[in-house]
Amino acid sequence: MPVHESYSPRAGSLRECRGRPLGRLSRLPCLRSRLNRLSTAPGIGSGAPSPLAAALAPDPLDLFERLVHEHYAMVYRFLYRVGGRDRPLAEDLCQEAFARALRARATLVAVEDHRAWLFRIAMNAYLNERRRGRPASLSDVREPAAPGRAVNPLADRVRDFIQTLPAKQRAATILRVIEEREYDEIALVLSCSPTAARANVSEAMRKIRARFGEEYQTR
Amino acid sequence: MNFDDVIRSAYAHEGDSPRPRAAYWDDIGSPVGRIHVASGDDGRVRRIAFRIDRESFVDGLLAAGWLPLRDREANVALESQLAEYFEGARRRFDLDCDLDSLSPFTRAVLDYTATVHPGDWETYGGLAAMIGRPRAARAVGNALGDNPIPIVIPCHRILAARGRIGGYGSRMRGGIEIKRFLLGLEGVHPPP
Repeated sequence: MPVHESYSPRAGSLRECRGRPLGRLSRLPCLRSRLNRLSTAPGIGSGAPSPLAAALAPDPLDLFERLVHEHYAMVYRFLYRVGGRDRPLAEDLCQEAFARALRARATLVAVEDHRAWLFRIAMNAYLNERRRGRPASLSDVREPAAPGRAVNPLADRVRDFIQTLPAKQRAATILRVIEEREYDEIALVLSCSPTAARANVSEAMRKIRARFGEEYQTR
Repeated sequence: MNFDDVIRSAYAHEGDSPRPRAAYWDDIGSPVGRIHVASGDDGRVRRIAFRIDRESFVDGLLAAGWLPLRDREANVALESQLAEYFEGARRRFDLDCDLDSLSPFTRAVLDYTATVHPGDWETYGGLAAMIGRPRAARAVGNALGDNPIPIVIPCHRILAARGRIGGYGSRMRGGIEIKRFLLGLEGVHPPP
């Protein structure tokens, strides 16, 4: 019995949009919604792209897979550091951040700096978690130093101190010093201006110097 | 004075990064239209879906807590066994299924369903009695409608009273046609 003849795949998936004449593209609902949502990603997209750019945008699921492959470990490490080395928390938040990124795939294909956008989603997931009352973790959940690792008491205490700073200052410092990001990218991650991103790093460094300066000099 | 080196050493050696909790999906052609499939990284089958567009299928995996990644390799065994089944060259599947997220009742219904042999059939009421819930025939029907792994867990072999066709798939149009087709492959031809 030829059951399959009655089956026609639902029109309108993003992949099916590609390759159609451009004149009709902007009338397709999927592209319209994609174009509409571009304006909801301030600072990350580069303004509204042309319909041609939208038509040539990568398939969102293919793009998502590439991003998981390229950035999952990096986003995890960022969350692990910002969250005070709480491994289960970082695992949950990283999974959640990538799930959110895929749910927002209309935006995903439109943004220019995917890495910054993923880090921004991860940072927001972390801040939401904090707001929901999961306490900031301190040394009580800290993993023990890896065997064979040189013991550096000052470094451990600096890390504990950074954990007591406001989340944005901590994140800005980690992104700047550990990840060596430009202030423009840190600004995208923290949803602030590059000037404010720079101020967050300066303020954190000032506090660290004030707290540990003397000790550092006499080391 | 520069504290960068202290901070770098404070965050050095942070250990391994975990892999995402992923569902590896693919789609294949079949006599009943395109079928989407998904397996976990443990190799167990997680989903089989008829008549669904790619976006909805992927969203379903997301909603179940998995990151959907397209991967044919992870589904090779499932896809080749399905192909053999549709060619009439296979009657039983040799696959592990992941039913961990289901309720105990649905799980019991599907576990029993998996024991119904090809060419054979059971009724909703009969199945309800077999799992010790003789008044739950309708609930059995609902549980079967939510079967995440149709064909491999042969919910098409569960029929209405006196062997009438019953229903197939809780959120799918044209499900009865597919049910009749699958039963036909196995030599069962129920009345309407």
